[in-house]
Amino acid sequence: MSIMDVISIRKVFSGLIALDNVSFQLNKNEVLGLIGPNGAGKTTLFNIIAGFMKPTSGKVVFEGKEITGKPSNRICRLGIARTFQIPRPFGEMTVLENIRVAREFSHHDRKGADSIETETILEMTGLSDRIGVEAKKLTVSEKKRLEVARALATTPKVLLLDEIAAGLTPKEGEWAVNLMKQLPERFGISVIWVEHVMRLLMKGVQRVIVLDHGVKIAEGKPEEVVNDERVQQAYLGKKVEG
Amino acid sequence: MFNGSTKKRVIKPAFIALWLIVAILLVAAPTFVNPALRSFLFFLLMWIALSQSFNLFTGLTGYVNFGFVVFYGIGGYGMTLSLLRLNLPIYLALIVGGLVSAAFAIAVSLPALRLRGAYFAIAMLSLAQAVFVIFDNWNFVNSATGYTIPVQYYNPTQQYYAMLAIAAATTISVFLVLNSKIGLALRAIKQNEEAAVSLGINSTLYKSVTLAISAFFAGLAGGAAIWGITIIDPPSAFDTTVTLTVISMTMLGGFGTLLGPVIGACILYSVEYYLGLTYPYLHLIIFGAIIIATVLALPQGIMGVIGSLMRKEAKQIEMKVKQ
Repeated sequence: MSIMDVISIRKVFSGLIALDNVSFQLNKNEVLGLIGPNGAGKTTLFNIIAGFMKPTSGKVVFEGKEITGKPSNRICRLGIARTFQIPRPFGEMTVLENIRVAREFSHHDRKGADSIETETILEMTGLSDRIGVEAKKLTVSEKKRLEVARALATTPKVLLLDEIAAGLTPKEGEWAVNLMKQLPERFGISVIWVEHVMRLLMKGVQRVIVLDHGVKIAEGKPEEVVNDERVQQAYLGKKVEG
Repeated sequence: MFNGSTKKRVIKPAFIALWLIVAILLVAAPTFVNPALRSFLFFLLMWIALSQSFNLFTGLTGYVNFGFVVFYGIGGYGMTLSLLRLNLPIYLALIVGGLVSAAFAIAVSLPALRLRGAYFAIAMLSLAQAVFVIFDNWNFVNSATGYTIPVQYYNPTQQYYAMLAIAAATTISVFLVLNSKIGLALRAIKQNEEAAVSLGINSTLYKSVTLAISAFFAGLAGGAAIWGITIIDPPSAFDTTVTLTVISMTMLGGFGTLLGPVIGACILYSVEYYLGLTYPYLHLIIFGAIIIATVLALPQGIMGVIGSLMRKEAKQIEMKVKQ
């Protein structure tokens, strides 16, 4: 069953086509991987879904209703949360206050949404013993996890994760894979996960879509997609013939 | 500040007692001070009210309002016109002045708050200049001549109490906003607006409402000031020096703190008053020196430094208790 449909999204920046006719579906309780080389349009796509940008054409349908072009704070309150690739913590606030902000302002439009306990969020993101620390004093890894913790605190139905494992140690990366197992099973959250660390991504997702220069070039199971010739070309370049 | 500590429990009653003494002295002042000192206190309270209302918006959101004086001036004109044209009683006229200023802020915020950083600051600066030029040439507001408040309204004691009430109300509002949901939203917006918006905060709404509250109190203070000064004309009502003074006071005391603007206004207005008597204009040099020293040595202002010292100490006590 689909929870979100992205339909023929096109985004043009003063002549440059960032996204061209991109369509896909996110199923309920699914973790969908979104990959592609740098500049493929992954973050632009997130910005459009989360309401930070308006598409040139096309629409985003969430739970059967069109949300294209709605302001991002509304979209959050409807149940789509995002993280930022470069963490944007509220630096002068403690970890707990950061989470409190997310809690306070994201629930107006949804009655009866079951909220994930703050303690559970802290445990899942490994921030339990850092609650009183000012966010600017966290390590990079902790800041990335705080992004996830804050997004979870908005009680989303769809979570857009932008490179939460980049720059982390392999052990820290395993945390991300583990999280992808828990989110749908325990909390009924569907996820779109952008990640460059392919080894991790492949373990965490059920399905992958691949963008290259704004065009969707492949979609399918992780093992199918990595063997796709077009995907290999996009990442590694064309095989020299003869 | 948000961590409870043993130290805080000791400080708090002493703090409240100090506030009570200050409040009683201020309320009783007109019965025992001479007219010169009363006038000094009147203008000191005006600067407290203005710095505090400036702080309410700029200190909490981080958007520097370089056109702040426009709300003071419009409040002053709003009060004067409702008094002279509509024959409203003086206290009602003051409130009308505040409301006109707030309404103006909401109208302005729609385009201006789409801008950020230096662009917002410049837009507001230009706005204040534009309003000055319009008032200077607009017959409806008696253009460059302005107005004089008739002598029958002159009542120093009432004027003093009005300004005291406005300064107190402004400070209390900053306290209430700081400790409310709006305050939390504003802190989030100040620290990272994109992140705030992504977590469901309607930043435009919170910023507009805060600008309107700030303008309301600036307008009230402007009206009360004109009541005391008895003369209003465009160059004085829209004088950029007012904005710069208010920025200096807030910066010295500490942006976004509750007591910073009060302390900053007390220090800088005392300097201005006492030096201005004997060496006119010398105070401007001292002002400049204080501001440069503040920016270099205490970028968070006096209260900012005190706040971080107290937090450090609270943490040390907490550590000791844990051990």
